[in-house]
Amino acid sequence: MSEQNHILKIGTVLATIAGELLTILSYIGKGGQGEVYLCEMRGRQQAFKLFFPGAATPTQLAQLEVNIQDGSPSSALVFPKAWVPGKSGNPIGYVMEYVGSDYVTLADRVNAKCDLTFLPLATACISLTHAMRLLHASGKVYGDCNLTNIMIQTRPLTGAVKIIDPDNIIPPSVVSGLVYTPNMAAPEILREKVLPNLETDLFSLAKAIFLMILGADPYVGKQFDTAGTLTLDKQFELYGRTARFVFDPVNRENRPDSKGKAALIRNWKGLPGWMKKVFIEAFCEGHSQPHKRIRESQWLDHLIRLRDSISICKNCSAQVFLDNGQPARCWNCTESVNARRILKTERSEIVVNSGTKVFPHHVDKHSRHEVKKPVAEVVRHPRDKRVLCLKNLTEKRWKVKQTDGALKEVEKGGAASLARGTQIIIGDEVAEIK
Amino acid sequence: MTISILQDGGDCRNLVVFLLCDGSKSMHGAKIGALNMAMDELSARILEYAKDNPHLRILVQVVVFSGDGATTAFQKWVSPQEFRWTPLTANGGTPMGAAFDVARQELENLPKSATYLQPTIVLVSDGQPTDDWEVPLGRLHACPMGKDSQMFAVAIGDANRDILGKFCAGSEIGVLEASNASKLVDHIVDKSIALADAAVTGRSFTTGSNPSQSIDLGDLPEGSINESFIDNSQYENDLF
Repeated sequence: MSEQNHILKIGTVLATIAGELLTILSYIGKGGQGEVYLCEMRGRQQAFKLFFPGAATPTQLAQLEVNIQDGSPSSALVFPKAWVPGKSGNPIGYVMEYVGSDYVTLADRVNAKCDLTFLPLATACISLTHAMRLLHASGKVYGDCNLTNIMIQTRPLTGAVKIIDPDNIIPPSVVSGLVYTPNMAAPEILREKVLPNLETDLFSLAKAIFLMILGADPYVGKQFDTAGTLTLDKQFELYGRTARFVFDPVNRENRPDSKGKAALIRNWKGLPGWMKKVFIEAFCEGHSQPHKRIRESQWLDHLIRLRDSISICKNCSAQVFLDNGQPARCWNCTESVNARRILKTERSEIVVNSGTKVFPHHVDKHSRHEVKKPVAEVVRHPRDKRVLCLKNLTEKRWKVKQTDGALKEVEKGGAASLARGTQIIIGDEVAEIK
Repeated sequence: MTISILQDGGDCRNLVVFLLCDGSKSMHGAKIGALNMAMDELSARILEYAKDNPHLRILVQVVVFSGDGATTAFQKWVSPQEFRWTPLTANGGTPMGAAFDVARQELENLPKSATYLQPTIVLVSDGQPTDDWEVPLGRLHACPMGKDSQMFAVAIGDANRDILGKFCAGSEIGVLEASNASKLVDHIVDKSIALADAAVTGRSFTTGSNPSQSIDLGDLPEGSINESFIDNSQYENDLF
């Protein structure tokens, strides 16, 4: 995009409705509804969205004020912070958090423009699902999930996400501007122009999770390769009426191309069987039956379990999913990969690697899906780096029953052995090392 | 060292951009100058776009119609890397119908085994044909890829808009003004190519009015508008 094609002059000073000044620093880019600039406000870098005035509907403009007042329900969701009036007093745009170059888009991940591993990708899916759940719990829907609105932190590679572009965040089924992306919108939006609601968001969430973990679209297979010209109408048909999951267990007509989609096929083969079933449910029944779509809490259970199943290949360090702790072939070097140890609690099995974290989700039945602040972390023994142990990150003492039957207590900051057969009481839960 | 996961790199799609350029005598002077400048800038911008979007295989073909008939300029289906514009000089009649026939034949000759995004066909002309153009246009509209194409005409100078309008009948974009080169390039790259590409890159888009054509810049605070943008936009009359 050449420098001259943006509307605002660099250096322009604008004022929010509250009178706070912001300075336009540079042009970032444009979308269907406006342009985005880097700006400075309160001494910090922020982003400024300038509406194309014909693009923002009155409903959106009214919702903008509501969203600013409500604030974001999750740090992963970029919300408008303050709006800027034009000469008429109506909003011409708004200020929001600036997401910098340490994040990449989901489009970058799908187009192989960044190096990633499964652990941060599974974490990114958990963060994305959490954010969507909190948004839905606040009585709003996102509406326009697409590959450039979902961003993944890669420096450092934490798996944190930011969901940008809050223009279409609105209560469910409210008439706003119809905005959609054929490859992410629910089929009922493409077919019947249904207004965005919780179930359409759930469909887009499922697609985002599949794209994140497997790196390709769940419906782009042979049907697309033989479709001729992919006009918009054709895409509506292929993602809508005739869509078929590429790994549909019954109908194999839309299998992905074995050369062009070699990574997708190998990634799929490397998934645990139970996770394949989850995706089959999401993209077969979930396509045509909105009420059967997988809910956010179910996704969180599945995604935490998937992250807990990752082991590291001893030979090449690739991250490999184990199916219920069973050995698997490394997708990179074909060596057999085992779980060095498994930490088993009542409802979780966590494959133990250096750096593995245990969260309240695993050991406290009242803290389901709580995966922000770990209660324990697998660390290397300070005197013998080959030995792994479990560090207590809580304020409470753990009771540890060692393999010889002896009882030991582990204070905050102390560590328990990960010898097979050891039992550790963390909170109300007995964790056993297998 | 951590091993990165296996990645396919997205879906690579073919995107056809067909440029039908009027090099006839009526284009003499400022008109052919505007066309040459626009095409020169277009070659640079398509290259930039191709670099940013490696999942697209962009294929460009230019057909010039003038006193020499309708012929493919440069090579057939050049990549953005190979597409370099050589200035045209205006001469002779306007065999627009012959250009439509060449476009149809070239579209029909594309390999059927590949997958294409919606092709873009651009007619850049002052709309004064000197041959039978209606029957060839009907054939172009009726051929399979022609039916699926986005067609738009860029009117140069005091163009015959009825004829240009018939070329892009049914298209979302229609007849565009090209009072300067930069705007023409914007129309081609930002609207047509990006629209065809939207679903592959996963960018969302809106239906209905074309936002950048309905901007009311008058509501922006005094002194906040980029002067280069004004120089290159159609909004000057709204502003001054």
